[in-house]
Amino acid sequence: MSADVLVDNTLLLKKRVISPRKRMEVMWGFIFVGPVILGILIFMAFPTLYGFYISTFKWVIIGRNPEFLGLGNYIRMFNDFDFLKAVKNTFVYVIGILLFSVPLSLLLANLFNRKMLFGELLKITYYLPVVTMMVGVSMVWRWVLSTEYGILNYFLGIFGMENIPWLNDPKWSMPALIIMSIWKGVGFNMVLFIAGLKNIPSMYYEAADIDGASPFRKFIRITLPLLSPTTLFISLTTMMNSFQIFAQAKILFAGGAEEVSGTGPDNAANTIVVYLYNNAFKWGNAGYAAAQAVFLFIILIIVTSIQMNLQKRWVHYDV
Amino acid sequence: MTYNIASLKKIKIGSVIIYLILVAGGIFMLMPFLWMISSSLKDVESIFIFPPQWIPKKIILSNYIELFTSSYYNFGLYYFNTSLVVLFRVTGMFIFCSMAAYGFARLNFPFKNLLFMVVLATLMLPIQVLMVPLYFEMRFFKWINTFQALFIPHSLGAFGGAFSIFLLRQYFMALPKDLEDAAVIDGCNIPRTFVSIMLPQVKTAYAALAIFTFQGAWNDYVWPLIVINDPKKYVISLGITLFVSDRAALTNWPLLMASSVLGLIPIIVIFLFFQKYFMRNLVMSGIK
Repeated sequence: MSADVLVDNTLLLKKRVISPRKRMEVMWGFIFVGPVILGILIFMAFPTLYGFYISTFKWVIIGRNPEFLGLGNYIRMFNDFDFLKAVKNTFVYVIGILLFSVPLSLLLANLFNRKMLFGELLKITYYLPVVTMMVGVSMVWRWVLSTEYGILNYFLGIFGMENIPWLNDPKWSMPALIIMSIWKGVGFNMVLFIAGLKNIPSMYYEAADIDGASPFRKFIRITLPLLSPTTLFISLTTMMNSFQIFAQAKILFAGGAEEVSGTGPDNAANTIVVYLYNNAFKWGNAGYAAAQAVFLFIILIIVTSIQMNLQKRWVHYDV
Repeated sequence: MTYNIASLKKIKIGSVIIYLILVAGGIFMLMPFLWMISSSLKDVESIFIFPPQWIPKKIILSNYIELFTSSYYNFGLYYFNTSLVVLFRVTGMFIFCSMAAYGFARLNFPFKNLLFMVVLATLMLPIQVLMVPLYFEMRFFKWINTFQALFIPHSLGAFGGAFSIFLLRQYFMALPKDLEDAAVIDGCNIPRTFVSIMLPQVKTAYAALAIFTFQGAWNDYVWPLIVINDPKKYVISLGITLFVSDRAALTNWPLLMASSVLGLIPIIVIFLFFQKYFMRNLVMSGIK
């Protein structure tokens, strides 16, 4: 419909404009990008602004008459022990992933960065969890992490360790989540690191070989500095994704005794998104949940701007 | 001379150790999948046998049969719904994302760069942040429990669809300008040039993107969770979570594992066939 209007306009314009081809290009340009721009405005831009709006109301999800609170939801948020715990849990999770998953994927990439028998096949086993459904693998891990019959405790038992109550003890909730997420995501970063390693010119290593440098020294002096842009990119994207942790926590700890108030034993697996989901869709506090979403949004914006700033500085660092 | 042989031996031993480490790690990565398949073929009693049996003594298929035939679970229906969503999202991506990509790459119009920045910015905005307003919006549209809610936003570049636009734009920009000039001389108009000359040039990108979109649509959980609550409209990820809300079924591990197999195996099979495309996608995503 709007296309017809545009065609009419350009036909009128055609008579007095020198370059009809240019006009056509503008028209078709808008027609080509139009649907996508419309989709983004409706499904992303508007909800972003609307979310800010909702967050200033006491808004019950099925109710009709929201009550204006101003910053009330935000004040409530910072006095809500459960929310603060969810923030703490989320940060523990993010730091855990950064400390273990990123170095591990870098190590794997280095080990894989050589010719070896069935190397490609081995690489695929590490990448397999990445392509699979989070919901499905979380279900599988509920069973893998089962205290008495789980396969992980069985293996640890072979090495003489006691059964660990992964999903029932608040102490072990975050380690359980982190271990599962590392398993799920390490292949992703590994493949990115391998691509980064391939971009380092081999002449540096050849020169180091002539000088008789040890593999460890080569890694510290050549690989790490030249890989730093890749490492930065991977660390920050991993961080962004980790802040959004939702499905793992929701499913791994679903159905527990404390289901009513939170997720995991003693709320130990409650993360920001799980808590805001429960607030909105379980307990109906949509306004309060929207305020929590704004809080998460601000964290993500901070991480993104750090990424952009650092990337700018790293431009001259390129080989 | 002797020094050389010694160092050679050292390297050999080193690589054997590295290889063993990687193989052990690979087994650890596969373990949950094997454990899942093995458990799904057992009955409720033999699942608790200790030490665990990797290959069940008595292999049964009744768990799978129950998932397809019982009145409570209907995995045939979930498969059908999920396949439709996948099909429509991939088709929608082909049409709208490639149009937008071509527009941004090869046509000149006002505010082009600004609009492209808006498209790119959506990549930093996860759906988790928008759950609440999106739910209200969908309710206002009367799209709750509808099929169109599951594919229209993604087809129009929302919720990560912008990645396809970004990638296709790179491909279109790399094509030589002569192609279009020749088309103009032949009297081709812009849509014709796009469909019959430019589109066939980026076929390889489509193969990779189709798989990428397929994967995203098949595995999608958060969006169906927000817009679908009628079990007749469930997709496979929601079907698996049926067990979470049902305490009694939650302890029926074999049945639970069978449902996970149904959710994971199709994408694993596709991955094993097209793994080059998966990896290529990933590396391309890192280039931005």
